[in-house]
Amino acid sequence: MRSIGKFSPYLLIAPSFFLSVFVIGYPIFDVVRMSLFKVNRFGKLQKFNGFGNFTKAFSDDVFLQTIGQTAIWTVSVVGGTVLLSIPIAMILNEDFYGRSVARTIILLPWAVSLAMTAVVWTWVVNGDFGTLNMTLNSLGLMDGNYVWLANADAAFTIVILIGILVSIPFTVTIFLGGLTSIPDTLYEAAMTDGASGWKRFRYITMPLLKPFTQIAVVLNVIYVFNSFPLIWIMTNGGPANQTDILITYVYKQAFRFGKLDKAAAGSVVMFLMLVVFTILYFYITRDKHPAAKKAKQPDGAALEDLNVSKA
Amino acid sequence: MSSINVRDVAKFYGSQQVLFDVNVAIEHGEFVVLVGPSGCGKSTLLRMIAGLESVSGGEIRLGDELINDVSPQKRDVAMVFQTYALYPHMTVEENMLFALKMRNQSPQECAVALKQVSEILGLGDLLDRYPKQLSGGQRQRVAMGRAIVRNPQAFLFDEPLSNLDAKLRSHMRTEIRGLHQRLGSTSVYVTHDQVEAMTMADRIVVMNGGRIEQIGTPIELYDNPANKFVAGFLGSPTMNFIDGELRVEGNDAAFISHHQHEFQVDSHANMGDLRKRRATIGIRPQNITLTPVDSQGDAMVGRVRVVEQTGSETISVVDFLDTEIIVQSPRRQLLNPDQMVLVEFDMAAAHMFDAQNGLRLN
Repeated sequence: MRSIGKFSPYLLIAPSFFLSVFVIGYPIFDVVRMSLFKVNRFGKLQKFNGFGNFTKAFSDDVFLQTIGQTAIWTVSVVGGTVLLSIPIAMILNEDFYGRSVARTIILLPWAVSLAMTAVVWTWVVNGDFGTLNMTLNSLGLMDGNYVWLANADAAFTIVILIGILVSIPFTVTIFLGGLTSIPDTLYEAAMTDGASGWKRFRYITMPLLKPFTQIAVVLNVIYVFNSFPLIWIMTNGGPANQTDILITYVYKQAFRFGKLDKAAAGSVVMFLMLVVFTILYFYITRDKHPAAKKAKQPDGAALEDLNVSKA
Repeated sequence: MSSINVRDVAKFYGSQQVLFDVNVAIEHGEFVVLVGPSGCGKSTLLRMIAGLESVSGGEIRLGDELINDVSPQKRDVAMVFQTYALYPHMTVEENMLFALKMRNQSPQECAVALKQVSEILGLGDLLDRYPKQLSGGQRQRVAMGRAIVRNPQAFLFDEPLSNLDAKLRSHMRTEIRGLHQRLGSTSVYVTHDQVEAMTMADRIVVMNGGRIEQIGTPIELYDNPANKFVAGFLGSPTMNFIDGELRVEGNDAAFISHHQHEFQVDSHANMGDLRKRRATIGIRPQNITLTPVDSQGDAMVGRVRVVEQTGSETISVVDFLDTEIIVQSPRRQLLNPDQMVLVEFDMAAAHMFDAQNGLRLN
């Protein structure tokens, strides 16, 4: 082994490294290049355009409006998902009869493709023969049919709610992992120390779940920010671009209007937004006490292991 | 400080009963050790006193108050856990003050209590550290500080020393004992280690199979074990047992081993009638003397198998009467393996147990 020398580790990871560069790095390079050139509708680079494509994008009112909508969409879906997932995970972490069935049911939406979910929900909220109208009518809460997706506010609310629904399984899984890593004796100690249920949640569960909350927020923001199928299938960004988010906007620019250069500029903006968000988020939530992070206590060992595998 | 009264307590897990008619009265300021092999129910009993396990039958009183159905956070008892259970995300100071914070004590009161306790335990320099930055012994001390700072009605210890190495364990033993003498707090201490029980307890409760075998001071239990289990559990090295038959005629009693060797025994009221019965003689390793001999003739001669020198004393394992006995001599005795030795029992210190129910007969 020694004869291969100190380069052998690099040699061994070289194939995967170059594959990654090819699969991940090249598209990024290509889209950045496109964003700086004039591009015709068939994707051929014409001439260098500097930041012209970006100026064009930012002078488009729809683009600016879409940025705002993307923010609303991401914050609502991620916020709603995290807020709902913590209690759900806590319930599923309790020992009760039928827990494994309940866990399976919660995870079920994960097994269905987003496109499929979107199609099903489109039918549910359909104005003419959707089951939502039918249910509300037979409960006497509504008289006559309502075309939900025709109203921008209603449509946006509906896609956000479905966005939350499909993000819950993954997020609950993260939190369940986090909860299992908190030893029961900590709760017992807190109990004998006189902490009520709420205070145990506030002072034990919340702080010890923090690393898992961070991961859940960052990963969900990245997924949700870029989530295409739900909105595309259910509203197509409509009515009047009022449910468009950046990804659907970019897609429309590229493949409906043939403006590949403007779309590339939009993509680069999206990419930078995510990078800036991630850096900023980890900076804000960084551990002020670096020592506490890797609790090397017998109890904390499980926590530490999980931390590492999630990171 | 308060007394703890456990009366007729039972515990069921489903249909399985793990504690049977447990009765212990722990007095104000007393240090009581619950000891027994694993699975004997000692930890369950402690957790029931803490409120972490429900009480299936009987009653537990803290002082005069019945606490069966009082939730743990409302019982004023502090518990030290085997794994310490320090809050990993809090500093030593935050860990120690957590209970006071939960009770909405003022910052001034917290500061006073913290200062006092960290002085007692020598934690002054560690207050800003996190549990993971501490050694095992320091964590142990923080866990105790967290309990002391509250000044609770009683302390409960659940095998607090079992994660420490031998040297630190004996050091902490002395420290906990000293702390108790200083604070005079009612304490219940669970351990499976009979040395801890003997050295620390005011009174020991020996448990086995969900029942209490005997309660008494360490010396009482050592000298007058109620039954074979207690006799075998306490003391190190453990007591030697030889099976045989007890014959009582009037004031004369004799124990005949399976090997037909006869030991003269002082008769005792418990031995009862004139019939002979199967019995076990129990004798501690310290009450046997070995003398090297040449011949093999005498029945009281055994063969040395293993000799362990500790420097100040000698522990020998001897094949004797078809069984194996351990002998501890309080001085350095130079014996060799395979050497023949004359075995002499100090019969005045021997115990006689009924072979059927294990009860002591003398």
